[in-house]
Amino acid sequence: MQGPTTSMYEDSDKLIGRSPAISDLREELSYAARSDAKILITGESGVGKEILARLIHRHSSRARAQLVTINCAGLPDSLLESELFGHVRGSFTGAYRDKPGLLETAHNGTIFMDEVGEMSLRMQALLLRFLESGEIQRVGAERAQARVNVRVIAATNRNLTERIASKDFREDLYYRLNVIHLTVPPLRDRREDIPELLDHFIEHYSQRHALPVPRLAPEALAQLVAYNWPGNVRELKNFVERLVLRARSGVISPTDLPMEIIPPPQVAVREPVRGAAIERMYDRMVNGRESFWTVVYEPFMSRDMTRDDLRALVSRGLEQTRGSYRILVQMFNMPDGDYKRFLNFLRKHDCQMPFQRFRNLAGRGENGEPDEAASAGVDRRRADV
Amino acid sequence: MTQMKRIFVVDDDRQVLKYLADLLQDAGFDTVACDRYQDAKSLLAATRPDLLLTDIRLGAYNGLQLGIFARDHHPGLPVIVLTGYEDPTLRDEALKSGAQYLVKPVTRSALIESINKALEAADNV
Repeated sequence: MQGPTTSMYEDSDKLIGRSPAISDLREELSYAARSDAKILITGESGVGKEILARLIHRHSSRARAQLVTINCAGLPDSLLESELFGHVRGSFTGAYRDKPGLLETAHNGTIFMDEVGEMSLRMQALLLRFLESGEIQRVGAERAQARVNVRVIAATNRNLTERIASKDFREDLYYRLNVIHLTVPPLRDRREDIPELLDHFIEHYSQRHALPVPRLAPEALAQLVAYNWPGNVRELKNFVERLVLRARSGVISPTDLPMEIIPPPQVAVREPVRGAAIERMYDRMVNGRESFWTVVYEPFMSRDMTRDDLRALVSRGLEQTRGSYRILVQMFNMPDGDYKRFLNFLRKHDCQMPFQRFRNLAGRGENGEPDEAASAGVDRRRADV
Repeated sequence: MTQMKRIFVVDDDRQVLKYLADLLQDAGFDTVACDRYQDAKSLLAATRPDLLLTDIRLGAYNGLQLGIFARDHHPGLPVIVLTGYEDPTLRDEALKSGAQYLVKPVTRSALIESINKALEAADNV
């Protein structure tokens, strides 16, 4: 377990990579840091959850106060309780003097609680009470002695929803800790970042050990990118350190790599199913902010996409815009002025879906079910098309 | 005719989402309905709504997170968070983030009233 963290400005405290997953995380991180809400970080071991916590603290309004770190796994309850809340003299054998807990040390700052999913139900109850009241009661004390203001950042590599289902984790605690949820993807899901990470750590360890910077042969690099990295960035980092220390010549070739990093067997690429392909197109427009004209129009015109596909995609969108083609134009990243062109295109190929199907106006006329709060004079059936 | 106000509704339960969107559309609002936190983030920018109405439970995410995101990326956008239960800690988080915290069950008229009030307040800024 670590006490109060002093190495807050480690060189390694940055997110490396340009994959969409990391760019997204970087964006989430920036607004998470600006807010003061509690945060839950999930991700496999070795993905860098603690680095994330340090970055958040450093960029938050609490940066001048302490960031303290505690690992909740592997500590008996009594020890964890006294670490967090402190204890008074004589409260247990060996408690020779009053000792403040980490939550007091972190006053006005941040506490990073790693492996929070391993906490016993009893500790969960104590943490919940603290989150509600902000009050600290040292072990052995008669009453609460202080109210502290601490931002809690919790992390876990467990699936907490499963732990909730099996009654090992309190649901109310989960919702209180999980105000902002950050997920760090495993390295195998962002392989495009592996070369940059390798470069970064090769440089880092060559400098640290005052060794010449070795170069990775392209075949070796390819194998490292293909490897699954079950231990994620931490594994890669340790691996690079060993590699740098052992490099005998200036070039690292595949024969210099350890046995476990063997190329995986070639798996035949499965044809993606229709629905998935449509979902991907939808995603590229909605989340990737690519335009309908690039994502859909081109494959459709070159007959890589059927009319049914196009209809399914348009329906998917209209479901979300409640039948509004105007909003759909915005959602599919076209300028508002493309509205007519878009509709003409759909009409021409017989892919314009009736918008009414996505609204609930069936059977209701102008004098339909009255609603006291509806602003008078607003025509609910504004014709979009 | 005045410009219809656009409400961005988010709920990971599609049935509830449809119910809310129907209700709002009947009340004369333009609505965008979304069932995923990730989509909602991008769609907020694309559809430029006048108000964000979100359930507190969005799968692994918390509706408050969307509110916090919105405050950061779309300053001035009123946010109402709907929740199934009273929770002082979460209410406190909501208020800190500038969102309104509305505990269900909420009547149709109370919901519309909260929305109209929030829209009015935003207009007067």
